[in-house]
Amino acid sequence: MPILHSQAGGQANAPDGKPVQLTPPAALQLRGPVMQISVTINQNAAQALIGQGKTVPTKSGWALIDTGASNTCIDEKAAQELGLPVIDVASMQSASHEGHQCNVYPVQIITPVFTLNSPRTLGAALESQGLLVLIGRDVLQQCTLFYNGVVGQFTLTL
Amino acid sequence: MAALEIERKYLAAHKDQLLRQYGDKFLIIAGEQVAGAYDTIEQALRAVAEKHGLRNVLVRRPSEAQMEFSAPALTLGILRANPS
Repeated sequence: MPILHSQAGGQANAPDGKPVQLTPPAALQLRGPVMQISVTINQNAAQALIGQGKTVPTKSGWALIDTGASNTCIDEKAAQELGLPVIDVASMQSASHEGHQCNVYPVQIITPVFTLNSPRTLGAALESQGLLVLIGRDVLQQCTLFYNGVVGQFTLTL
Repeated sequence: MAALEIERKYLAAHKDQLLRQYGDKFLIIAGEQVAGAYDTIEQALRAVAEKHGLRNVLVRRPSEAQMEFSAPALTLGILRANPS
């Protein structure tokens, strides 16, 4: 069983502006369960494109696991830069915006340990939040997630 | 024009007919034509890449409504909220 285990870390600014090292529990609380990933087109589509001699670009960045999100999102600008095809349109519900429409892309998310399939990934403005991907409950359906706030670690297994 | 507007209108207008003809298969709809029907979305996505490359085409079951998505932290812009 592939296991992705991560201990949070990083720095923050103290009230006097000086950078201070965060403890793992504080880093996990501040940054959330984030990990470095790469994204590209869905595996089956990628195999077909490679078979035709086409290149399949990838993009790297940060992914945040968000158990509050019903579906997985990719940064819309990154999806366009990768040339991903739009395969549907979804409606984004929120308290302030009714039925905002967003594109749906076929994506795979490559972690250092395993690859997560996300055939219906929504395009959303994530770049301003420093994120490439938001991993939602559709992808988490494939996984077990263990969040250990006491020691500042999280574990994702397939 | 919103993405895949022609395809989504075609699916909505022909939903009953497509349901009878293809049941619960994943359809690839390009323009006002069904370009393929597959048992799984993975098969459909492979076929999309083989036949249409990176062109936008609709992939959806005729029985499915438009996907609805909820992510409160994202839509409220508080993914990186820091109360300190």
